[in-house]
Amino acid sequence: MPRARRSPPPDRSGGSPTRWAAWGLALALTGAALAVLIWRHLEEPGPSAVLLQEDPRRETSPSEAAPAHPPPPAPSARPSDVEALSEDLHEERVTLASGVVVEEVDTDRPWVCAGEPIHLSARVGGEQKAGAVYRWIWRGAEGGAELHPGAAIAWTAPKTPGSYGVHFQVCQDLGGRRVGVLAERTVAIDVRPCGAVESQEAEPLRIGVVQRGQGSFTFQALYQGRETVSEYAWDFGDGASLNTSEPAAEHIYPLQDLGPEKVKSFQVRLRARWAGGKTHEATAFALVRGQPVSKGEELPPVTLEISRWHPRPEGGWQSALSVRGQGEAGTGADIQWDRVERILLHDDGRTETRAHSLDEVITFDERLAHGGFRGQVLVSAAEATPDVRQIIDVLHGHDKAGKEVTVSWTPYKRDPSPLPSSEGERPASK
Amino acid sequence: MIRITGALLLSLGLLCALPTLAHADGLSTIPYGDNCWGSGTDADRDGLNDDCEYQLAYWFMPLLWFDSGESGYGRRPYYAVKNISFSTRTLQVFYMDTFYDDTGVTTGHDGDPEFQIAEVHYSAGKWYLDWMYMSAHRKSVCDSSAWYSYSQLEYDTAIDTRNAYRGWPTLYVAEDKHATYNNLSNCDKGCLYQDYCSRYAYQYLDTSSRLVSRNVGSTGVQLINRVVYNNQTEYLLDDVEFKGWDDQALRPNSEGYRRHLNDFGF
Repeated sequence: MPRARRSPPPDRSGGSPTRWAAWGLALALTGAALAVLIWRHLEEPGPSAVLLQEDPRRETSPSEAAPAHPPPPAPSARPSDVEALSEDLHEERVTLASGVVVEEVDTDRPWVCAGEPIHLSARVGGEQKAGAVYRWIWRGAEGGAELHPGAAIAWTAPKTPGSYGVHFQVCQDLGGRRVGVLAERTVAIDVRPCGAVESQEAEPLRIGVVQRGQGSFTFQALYQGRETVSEYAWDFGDGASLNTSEPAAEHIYPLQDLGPEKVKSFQVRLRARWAGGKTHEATAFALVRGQPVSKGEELPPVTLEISRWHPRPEGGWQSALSVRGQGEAGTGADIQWDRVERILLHDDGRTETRAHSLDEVITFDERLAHGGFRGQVLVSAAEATPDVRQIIDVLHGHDKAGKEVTVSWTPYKRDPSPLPSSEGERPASK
Repeated sequence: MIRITGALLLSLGLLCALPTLAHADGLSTIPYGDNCWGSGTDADRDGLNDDCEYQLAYWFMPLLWFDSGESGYGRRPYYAVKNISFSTRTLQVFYMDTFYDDTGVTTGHDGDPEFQIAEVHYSAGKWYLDWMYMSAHRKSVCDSSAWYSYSQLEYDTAIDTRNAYRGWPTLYVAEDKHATYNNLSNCDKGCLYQDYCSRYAYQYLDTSSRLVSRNVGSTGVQLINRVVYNNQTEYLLDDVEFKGWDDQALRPNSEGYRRHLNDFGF
């Protein structure tokens, strides 16, 4: 609890010795404060490690529109910095010999405005070490150490411009508060003072990242200019690329090589090109994480994909359906499909079930092995009446052994109308 | 002159005190930091303080939005906590929703073992949500389960101002089937478009007990397994069916939590 202080009496002495003493005190304190600031900045990596790159927000001509290169990180962490941070983290740092290598640190921008985020993503190679974990550590707001797990981080820059060290480490728990460091690398971040026009919100081109499911993303080009963009060139960071005329792209990252719960960061680059040839570029990161693979369990006999329904010219709705039998890999080889039950869910809670042959609701484009097929699911306008909120199709069949196989999907669903929140269901306070 | 000196000192003080990092995120309500590791009682022998496990499970317990047509709110949630790493100050909380029933038109069954896993870490006085795994018909033909990083999640700070970005998340519960999603759009696509969510009624995951005395431990060190409720018995950690304390004749039962706990190493 700070103690209350009495206000000093007003200074009425003019050019008295007291006045000179006050000036002296002020100058001394100024010097001390500046010394503290300089010392604090000297604690961070020096200017030699500052990442100075071209401003990505400026326009580029076609000839100079090369992808933004990641800034070169400093070759290694300064032991004094990281050791001090370990002390502040109340842990015992143990440097371990290993073949683990921090190959590179990618960023979405070469420098950052004070108070804004910069995305850092480390690439680790060399020896794979069981139990290795990744983390970032840096000097925090109160002077203590801050920590963030993972190979990627959205690091928020301090509000004071300068050069700041952020340390990436590959670590291993050694028991108790002992932390083994297998590899590490320091990145010096150039934090600059910015006006409103230089802030990230004012950048002409940014990428919005929206995850749609496991490994599935939608990327949106957020362009604020007046010019008409003729083409968006997307590089998804996994070797795949796509050119679109629309300011959005969807991409599914392959996860089969990603171990259970392992995280991978993909650097997504976008180049928007104007009719006149000028381009803008933007970078973002997509984070994906693997799921555990079930072992010794029965696989579903089929896999299904269905597109969202779209209107048919003659009325009603249509969806693209793909059914693939798992064949020898699964248990339901060569499935014979018998019928479709179409269930209509009404607003008043009624359900209405209608039996159909497959041909009545599906037009087949291609027959596939093991009972699979590709086709179009049709919903008539007479079925999707205004009081029907959802339709569910249940496809019934059986495998060679006579075991029943049932799968279902929705070929039409009315958009939910906005509903008022139920006041009676307000949660109790935590 | 004193005024000039005072202003100068104040300016310098503010300059020196300027935070080098501005955090408007994370939870500062949890009375544990990295003393969560290696302190206090540790009944499940995972290296984590038991009360810290409870505090984290409680504070990161998600807020759930239910649809207007929901007919199966009933549940009795439990949780388990797993130590990930002291080096990264990271652990995971496995929320066992234990809905009594799946009342879906085509999927109805007794017991509905949907779940979520929150991965959180501690740094400089705050705990942060890093990842959330949401089960959505896991291991079925229409499995829509996924990990989402914190930036892909919603956080409601209006209902409770102690919440923040990277605090406890807002999730959307599929009508009657209880798959969970990070937003309405992903729910709409869930389970081959069969899932249906809306913002009708919201509740925290555990509305009654606030997860007090609901730590099941782990499959290796079991603190709670056999639970008798409504004169019916469930074994939460065994590889047996889960009937939601509501074993009705002529309704199928669900497979239990064990296979999911095994897969995620709890």
